[in-house]
Order: sequence, then structure tokens, then C-alpha cells
Amino acid sequence: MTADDDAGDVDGVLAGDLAAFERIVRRWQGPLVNLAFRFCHDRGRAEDLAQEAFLRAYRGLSRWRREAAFSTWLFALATNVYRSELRRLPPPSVSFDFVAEPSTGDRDAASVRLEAADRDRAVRRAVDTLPPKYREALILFYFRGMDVAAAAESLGVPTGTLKARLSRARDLLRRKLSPGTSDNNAPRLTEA
Amino acid sequence: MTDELDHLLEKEDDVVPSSGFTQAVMDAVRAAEAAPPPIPFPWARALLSLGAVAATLGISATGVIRVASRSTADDWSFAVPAVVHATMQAVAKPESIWTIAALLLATASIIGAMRPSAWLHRR
Repeated sequence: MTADDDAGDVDGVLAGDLAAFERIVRRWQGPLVNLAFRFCHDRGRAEDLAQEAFLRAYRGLSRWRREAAFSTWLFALATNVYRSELRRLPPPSVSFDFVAEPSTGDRDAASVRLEAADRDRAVRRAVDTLPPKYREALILFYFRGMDVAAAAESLGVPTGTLKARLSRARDLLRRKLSPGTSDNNAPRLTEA
Repeated sequence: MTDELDHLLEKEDDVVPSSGFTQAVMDAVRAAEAAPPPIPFPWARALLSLGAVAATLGISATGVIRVASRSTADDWSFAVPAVVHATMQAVAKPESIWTIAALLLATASIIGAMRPSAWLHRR
């Protein structure tokens, strides 16, 4: 997947070629559905959200300014769609109290795997309980390969703001996870 | 920030879009293409109407101020009964019956037009 492919297909769509948009959908459906999934943790809803994002992208393709990468523009648009849709119809909220405590019994292979799964779930739920602006910063930062500039552009905030939000998000995560993470395999959330 | 937290946050499972996803998106795009464009808000007419309303209000306000500046307190105390009296006299004239009948007919036809549509909406 190259930037030239995107630019060429966007030109095609703007010239009235619907097949060019189908190529864009095929190229970007994975990333957009995955990004939506990270926001809502519901596969069906993730596809609905991604479909809405593609529809808005189709309507707004002429607004893509070529100085930014197509992916940056598309992720920014999709992020806006996901944020507004999830604010309108939020996913069922989960109290952090329901997060499974890591077990402390015998540590055979199966229990180690279970502990790892518990730990992943705990972190994911902790992220879900963060206020939206911190949650969105974390989701975009890790989804975009820990590229602060790309994540900031997708969220439409300066990089300094994103860094501050990430720092605050990590502090909050550390606080949420620290009581149940004294176990050896639990994430050790120490200061950098 | 620990590497471990980075790793945990980064390694979320990937979701593969369902096989019909592209088709669903393209169907939605085609449906959007086929739908008639939304009717644009009639700004020209709205601005014209707003201008007319503003002009009417301005002229009325100027008139009220002009009358108020000329009249004394005694004039105001008789102003309202005088208006009521003049209205009653106008209504009592035999030719005003046609005006009243026309107004009643217009009101009845508006109500008559609204009722069936309201009833249909309720169904």
C-alpha cells in the first residue's frame, strides 16, 4: 500500500470512478475496523462505525489536502466519527471493580496463561474507565505505532497536548492498576 | 513508562473485517449516491423575510416612540378604551360581517386541512 495508490484512487473517485473507492475500502478496512474495535470492543459495532467513517470519507474526499498523508486524513476523520458516535451512544460502561484480580496459586503453564489473559483484560478495562480524552490519546498513540505526531494529528491536537494527555493517562492507569498488581506477573507501572 | 505497559497496551488483538464488509460499505456508498441531494436552506428567502420583519419592527418602534413622545399621561389613560370602542364600532357595521365570515372560513379550512393529516400521523 503506497501513498501513490491512495492519491491515484482519490483522483479516480473524484472523477466519478466508484471502483477506485472500493480499492480504498479494501486497502483501509482492516485498520479502520481495528481502530473502531479499540474504541468500543464490539466487533459488530466496530464494523458499523468503520462503515460510517468510510461513508463520510467518500463524501469528503475533496477536502483531503495533499500535504498530509491520506492515512493521516482518514484516521483523523475516522477518529472524529468514532468519538462522536460513541459519545452519542456510549458502549456499556464497566466498573473497574469488576476487573479480575490476578491469581496467586500454583503457577503451572495454564495458570500463567490465565494470569496473562487476566492482566491483559485488567489493562484494557483500566483504559476503558479513563476519561475520554485520555483514553483516546492512549488508543491513538498505541494504534499508530507510538508515533506522537501521527496520533496528535489524528486527534486534532498539538503534540504537546497529546504528550501531556499521555502522561496523565499513564498516571491514572498506574493508580488504577497498582493495588491489584503486586503479583510478579502483573504489569509493573513504575515511573520512566 | 515501563516497556511492559507499552507492550500490554500495544498488543491488542487484531480484528479481521467480515467478508461482506467491503460490499456493505459500497452498498451504502451507492445508496448515498442515489439519494437526492438535501434541499438547501433557502437563505435568500429567509434573509428577505428577516429584513421585512426587522423593517416592520423598526417602523412600529419608531411610530410608538413618536406617539409616546407627543402624548401626555392623560392621553395614555384613554388610549386603550378608545381603541376598544373603535374596534367594537367597526365590528358592528353590517359590511364587516363579510370580513368576519371570510376569517372564520379561512380558519375552518386550515383546521380542516390539519386534522386529517394529524390523524394520519397518529395512525
